[in-house]
Amino acid sequence: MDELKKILRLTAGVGEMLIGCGAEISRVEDTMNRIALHYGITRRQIFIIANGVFVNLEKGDQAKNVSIQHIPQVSVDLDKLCDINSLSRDIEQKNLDIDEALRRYDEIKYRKRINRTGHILASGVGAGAFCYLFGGDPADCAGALLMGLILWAFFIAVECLKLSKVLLHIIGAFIVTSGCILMMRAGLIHHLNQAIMGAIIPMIPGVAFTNGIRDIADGDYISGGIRLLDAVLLFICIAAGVCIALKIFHAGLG
Amino acid sequence: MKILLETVAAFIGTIAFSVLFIVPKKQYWICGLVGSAGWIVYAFAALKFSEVTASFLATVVIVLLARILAVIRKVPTNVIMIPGIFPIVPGIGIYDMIYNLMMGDTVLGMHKGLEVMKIIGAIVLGIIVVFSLPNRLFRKPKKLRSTNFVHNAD
Repeated sequence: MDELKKILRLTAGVGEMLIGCGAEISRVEDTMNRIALHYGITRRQIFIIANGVFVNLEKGDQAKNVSIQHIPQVSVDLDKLCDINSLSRDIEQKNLDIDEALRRYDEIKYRKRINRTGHILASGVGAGAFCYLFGGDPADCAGALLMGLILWAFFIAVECLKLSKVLLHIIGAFIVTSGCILMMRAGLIHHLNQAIMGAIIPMIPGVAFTNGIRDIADGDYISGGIRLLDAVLLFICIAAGVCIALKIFHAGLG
Repeated sequence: MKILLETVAAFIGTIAFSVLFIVPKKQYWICGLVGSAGWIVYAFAALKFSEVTASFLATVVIVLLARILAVIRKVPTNVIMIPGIFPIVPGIGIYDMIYNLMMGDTVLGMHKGLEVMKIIGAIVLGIIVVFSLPNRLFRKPKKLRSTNFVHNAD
């Protein structure tokens, strides 16, 4: 692989990974430009939207390389974001050569360490804590905590089926709401609204929403629009799941 | 007393979200602090102003803190801001809106919905306001500036 190819691979790869793990467009653009510039590419065209990266690098008169990448789905991983950030800082400040930089890039890319138990616990604890913030009493919080645990355990259990986000959110909201209604019927919790809302909180698409706003504030309207649309769509799915459950219990057992 | 307990809940909840979003372990407590600081501002502002104003003020504080701490801890702002902003999501308002719209009480549903829209608008405005502050306000005084200057030379 000649050097320009390597630089292209690093630049495009870093851009792809940054978008994939939840960075705003302006940061991606900035990082890619800095990396390319550091390796001496002064003529470069970089265009980024929320689901694609287009890079064109030229070196001297001899070589020209183009890379277009489609970025399919966003799974939030802020740890990766930090790692890429420090990789790009090291490239500039410690003068990493291209092979070393690529090696570290691959290391970050292929590292898998999603802590599933930790996520289930976090979902439960988060649901409980937010239920309290919404004004629930301790019993409601315990209920929300339980539903939060169940919700994330469900997400992990069906991970292998590769269901679409839309379906996952509808089913997730449905499970949570049904569970809360049943607990309400059994007299275990006292405020239905607070418990349901708390238990749903782990599904709320906060990253897509915040990044969408940031992109629009930066003037990246297309990417911001895509991300906000994503957030709104998921939100509507959650609402649909809640409504279906409420309706069923109202009609059937109310 | 109630606010104190709620602040603790905000701290725990924010850390839980940091785990869900795979924030590096070293930054957990920073996220928690930002989240609870946001809640304190929200709770005290809500005593005096409307919920919309309180949400706006809390968002401004959260995003400002996130930007400052991001420079100190050398991480992207998103890492601290995204979990930190969760405590002021108007959850109950959203629930009431959906519930009433679904149950056929359109008037009450739209009323709640407009409230929620105002709060979300305030949050959006808060984020945009703080991010339109220029970057150099958040730079470290000496060491970083010299390196940044080299980076931006081209």
